[in-house]
Amino acid sequence: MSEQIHSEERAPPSLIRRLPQSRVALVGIGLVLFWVILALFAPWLGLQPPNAQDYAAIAEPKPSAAHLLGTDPLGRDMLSRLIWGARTVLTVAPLAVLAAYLVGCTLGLLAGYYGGLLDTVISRLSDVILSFPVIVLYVILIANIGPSMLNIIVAVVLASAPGIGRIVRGLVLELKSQDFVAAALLRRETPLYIMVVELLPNCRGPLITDFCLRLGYTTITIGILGFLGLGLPPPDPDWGGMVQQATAMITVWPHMALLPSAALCSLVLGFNLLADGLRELSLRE
Amino acid sequence: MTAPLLAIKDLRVEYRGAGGVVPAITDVSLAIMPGESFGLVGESGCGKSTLAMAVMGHLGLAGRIARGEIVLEGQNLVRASEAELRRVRGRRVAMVYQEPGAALNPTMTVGRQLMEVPITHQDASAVEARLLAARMLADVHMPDPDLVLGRYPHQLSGGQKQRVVIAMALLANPALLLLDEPTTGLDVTVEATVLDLVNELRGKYGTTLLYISHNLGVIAKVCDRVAVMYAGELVEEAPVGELFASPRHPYTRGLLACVPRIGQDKRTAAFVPIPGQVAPPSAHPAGCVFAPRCGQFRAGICDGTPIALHSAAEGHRVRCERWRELPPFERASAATAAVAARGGSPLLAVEHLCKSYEMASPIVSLFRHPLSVVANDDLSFTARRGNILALVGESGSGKSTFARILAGLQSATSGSLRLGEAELAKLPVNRRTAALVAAIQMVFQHPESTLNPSHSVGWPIARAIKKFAAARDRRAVDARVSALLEMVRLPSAIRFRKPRQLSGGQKQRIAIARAFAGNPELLLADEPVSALDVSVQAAIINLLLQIQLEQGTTMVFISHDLALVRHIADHVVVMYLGKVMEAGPVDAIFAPPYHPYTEALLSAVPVPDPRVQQKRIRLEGEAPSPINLPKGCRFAGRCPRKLGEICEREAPPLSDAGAGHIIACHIPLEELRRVESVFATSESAAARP
Repeated sequence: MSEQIHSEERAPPSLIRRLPQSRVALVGIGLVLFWVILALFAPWLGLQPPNAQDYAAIAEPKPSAAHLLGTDPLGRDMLSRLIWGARTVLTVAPLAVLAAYLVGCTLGLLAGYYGGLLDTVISRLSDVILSFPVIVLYVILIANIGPSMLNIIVAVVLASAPGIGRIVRGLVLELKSQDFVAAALLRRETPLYIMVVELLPNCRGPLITDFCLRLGYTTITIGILGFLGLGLPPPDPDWGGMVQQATAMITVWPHMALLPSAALCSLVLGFNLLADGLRELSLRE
Repeated sequence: MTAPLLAIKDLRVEYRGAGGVVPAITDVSLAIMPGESFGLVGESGCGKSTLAMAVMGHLGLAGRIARGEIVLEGQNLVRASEAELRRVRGRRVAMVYQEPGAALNPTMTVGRQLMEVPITHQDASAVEARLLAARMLADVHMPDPDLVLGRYPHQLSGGQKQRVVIAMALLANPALLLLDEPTTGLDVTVEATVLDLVNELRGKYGTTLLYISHNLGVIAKVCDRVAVMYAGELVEEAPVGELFASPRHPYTRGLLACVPRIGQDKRTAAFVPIPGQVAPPSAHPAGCVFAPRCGQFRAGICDGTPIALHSAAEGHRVRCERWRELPPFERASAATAAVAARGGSPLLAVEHLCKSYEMASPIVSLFRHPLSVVANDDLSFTARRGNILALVGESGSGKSTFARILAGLQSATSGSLRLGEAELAKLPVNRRTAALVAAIQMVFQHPESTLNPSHSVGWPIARAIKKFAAARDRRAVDARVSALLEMVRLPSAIRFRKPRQLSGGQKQRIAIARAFAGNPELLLADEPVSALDVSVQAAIINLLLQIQLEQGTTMVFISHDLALVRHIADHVVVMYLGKVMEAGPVDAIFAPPYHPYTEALLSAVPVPDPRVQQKRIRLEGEAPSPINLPKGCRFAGRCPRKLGEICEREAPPLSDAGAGHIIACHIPLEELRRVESVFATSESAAARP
């Protein structure tokens, strides 16, 4: 007689599907979605142009009927600049992290799967990069190659890929001794196939969490670069740059610095809570 | 009549989980008399370990005793406070866990951990405690007890650690000792010495034992009375002799029909596996929990209300409504499987195959003589077409290294390995031709790691079919996947499931289907059933035998389980530390003349029949590390029949005992022939004048 399969035993749904089970993750998603929706629909919200100056408002930049959240020192509408700023952050951060993942996963797979000299070279180079304080690394890089969206992405890739590579390498070292890898070798699969199809999908649990955390870090980084004047070139709105322009007036008109800071905080918090929720869910299995 | 030392009444234990309350034990009542050795058998998930934890009061935050009582020496532990429980634990009850490495603190010396017991429980001074600890280590036959006291756990071998844990448990002189699978994971020769020790200490200290194991053979060796558990219920309880001679419950009978028996093989009796698998607690039927798998099921009798324990004889209780009507138990199953004829033309020829690992990098070896680990040394044997060749040996014998070389996952250092005409010894899998790779396929040991958790289970089978070009277009591949799944008795729809939805036995079936996707000439099975429960093990072995016969496949079967090898193999190679000790047809290996190592192995096999008398040969210590081994016989250091210096100095000659039976030993063949068989049943012993 053959063994019966338990029809009532359903597969536990994937991590993403189970997200609603974690309250922490839901709060995180809520915060992130809030900014994503605002950023997506920015052109149709009836906002004032983010770079348009209202000279009348410069003398009295506090919130009013014309400017719900007031204006910045140059008389530009804060609400509009915050939402258009979200657009920048939410484009640059995911693109940069995705690019970092592309590089990091490749390096980690190669180092973990082949080992030996290749592993030594990749790992030691990663150590060199990781030994720099991140902010110093960013400042040196951007100061040299100049501030632009592409260069920020390049800088994030350079600073984050070694960390991602290290995670992937560790996971691959553990996975490659599993019998299913030997079974793949006994089917004459190529190394590329084994790395991408057999090994990488099994790294996704820890990587999803790390991806969310890294989105948060990168958001902070973009903010800091903006604050240091190394962010996106003016006049386009950028949360870090907005804080920097407002620092001189912080005692007189605190809202100019506090509002973009709060925006930055809420987005980073959203990413971090989402990462916490995902971690909690993956541990609950 | 004396009062029982431990009485458990109507016990029900539940665990709270994310999915609600899950009962682990639904109904257990038992009484253990002082001085008795009580065995608890069952497959994984039946609640054995939960029972031990409930007695220790260690159910954790999620566990709860929902009903019933546990009375130890008149005190009900269920209602005891945490402070009272702490007084009981260690002083009156002690426990030996399965994993000795996890029971010892790696940062403390063995001495300090042992001394803690008398200091905490008997208010002993440090000096007294040290004396007690040293004396106890001597009692568990630890060589150099005073030296061992100063060692850390990582400096001890697995068997020694288990001795330390047993010593620690006995130091408090407990009335009741719980042993939870204490020898699982130890080599069979080490297991035998630990079991001897348990029996000896029991006589010496008069400790009552509750011995938990999945291994019927071990239970038969150390217990007076046995209880069988199934799905959280106690289904049968009887004195050990009676349980093995006339089991009443269909589950107990099923278990006994699943285990290989020395003296029988695939030609004389086939395993009769229990159909199906243990249902999860949510799916337990209203009546008898075993009903869905029971061949004796009768509607109207077995379903409906829960079944009560019936008294079948003095001290023999059984939870079956139909126990009176069941036919008497037949020890030897009538069913025999068709098997291939022995002795075809040679398919695989191994000649002087060696594999060693250099331990140091090339730079270090400039300054120092490099250490080399010899995993395979001068292996020579052949496997014949359509036959099953078994490689047997304890851990470290080099069985798996040989398998990896044969599969091409590693390369040999020297020697030759031929499959038909092709030379494979130094040909890694990526340099073999597609036909050669398809010709040698493997079934791995661990069901948990044999399938990629990210892909559906049908995917590797389909992929293998495409890779080996057995079929190209999608419909043909699908048809072939279905055919292969049918071959391993799985429904075709299972292919869409993920590995985590399958049981261990089902995963191994998938692995077998995958291995047969390319119609291999040679199947390498590396301990394919050692991680499975006995009832599932029997089904997988039957399946392998059947497919092997149908497809005419040659099989290299690697195992540490001699009873299983006896059942399945046509030819056997016994290995020790990378060398062949003895090789020959299976009947010749299991009968005199024996190699001294084979003889010791056979005498250590736990036989699930208390009537079988085994010769008592015990090996000292454990297999030495395979680094820079001496020139002579590998086994010389532990050999009970060592001749003298010659064994350590010279490699033993190969003597041919006829019919391809080779023994590598300095003892002359005539002397080896004079040895009696290791096994004797008490009946045949009594029949002899």
